[in-house]
Amino acid sequence: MSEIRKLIWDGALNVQICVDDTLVLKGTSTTERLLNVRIPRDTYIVVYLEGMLKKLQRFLRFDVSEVMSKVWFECDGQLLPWYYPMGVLFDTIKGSNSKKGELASEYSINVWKIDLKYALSLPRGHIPIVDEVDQIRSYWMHQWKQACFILNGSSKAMMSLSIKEAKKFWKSVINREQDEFDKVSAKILSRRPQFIPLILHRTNSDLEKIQPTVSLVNSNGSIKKLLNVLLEVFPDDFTNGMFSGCVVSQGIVVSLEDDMFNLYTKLRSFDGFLHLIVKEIGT
Amino acid sequence: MDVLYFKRLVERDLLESRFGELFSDANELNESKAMGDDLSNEELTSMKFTLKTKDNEIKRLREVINVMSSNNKRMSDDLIGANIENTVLQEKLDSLTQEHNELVKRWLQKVQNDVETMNATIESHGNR
Repeated sequence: MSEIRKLIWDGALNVQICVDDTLVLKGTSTTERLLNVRIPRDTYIVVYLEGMLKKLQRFLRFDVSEVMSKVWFECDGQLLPWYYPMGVLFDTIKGSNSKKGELASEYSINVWKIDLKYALSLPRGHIPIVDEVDQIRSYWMHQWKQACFILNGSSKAMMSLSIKEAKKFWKSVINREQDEFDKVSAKILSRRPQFIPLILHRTNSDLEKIQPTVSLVNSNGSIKKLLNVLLEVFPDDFTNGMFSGCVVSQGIVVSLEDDMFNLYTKLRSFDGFLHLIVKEIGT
Repeated sequence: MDVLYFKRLVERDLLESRFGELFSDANELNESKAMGDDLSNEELTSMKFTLKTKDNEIKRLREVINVMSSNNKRMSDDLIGANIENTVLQEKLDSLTQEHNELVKRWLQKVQNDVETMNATIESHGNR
């Protein structure tokens, strides 16, 4: 299991960031506006926003601090909500390309091209970064509080973390220290939770998010499987008892026969939630 | 199941980490962020300040141009109005001059007639 958790923690994506031309000085070439960076799947993209802008600051028209609240990320014209983990955004918008043909070719490269946009008026649905990293940390801590409540029926375990531990917890995400992260998260996670913190994502244009209440067992006492959850949440997506799609988490297709607690234990994200992307066949 | 997930994650990483050496590590971004600014950055900051000042100057001058343009437009409108008024007054002047000349002509004609009448009266009195 620890090997799977390590692969989840270490998973990263090749990302090419293209900075909006209104943000850079006149005469800046297209290649100078590009930034190739490998971003972990299990983090928020905005954690690296300041670093990205600082790296490109010699070409920027404004000071980094001036533009932090006026920029956002887009992919093919679609706003990328920064408050979802990077891997979830990739799996929802671009999808897993793990086709056998591509795997066979050792020369193919997997790059996610993202635009860093700038404007004085922000797009609908975007939450501006007004408090830099503190805002991101607060949001992430809030997610953990919510996950803790769902798991244990109270946020006590989360609230009783000392300031030092809470800081260490966040620092472990920033510095990618899995041991530290596991140490603190073990204090919050329960061996026998009441419910599973689950977020289902649909791959439609609105990036629909569903947060069902999922217990460990069905009403008849049997262990709750992913298939049971899908049947409860998306009954219309079943034909003759067969689910007409597939479910992806952490970039891999998961088994519908797997039980929810096992899925949560293995594939949960760094925000304490299990993110499952429900895809239609063919996407 | 765990073996299956492990295998799939390894395959995922094989695909997603290919040519990863062409991409800088995201942590380096945060590390470079923590480093102090060097001399060129100071120069850059000063140049950016100058750029900002110049941008503000451009903005101010654009506003002046806008005000001047609206003044210019207003003056043009006034000029057109004055020209129209001038034309109307010129026509009125021509008409009044013509009327004046007509009246003078008529007055002269009347005086001529009066003189002739007076002469005829005097002449008839003389003959008596």
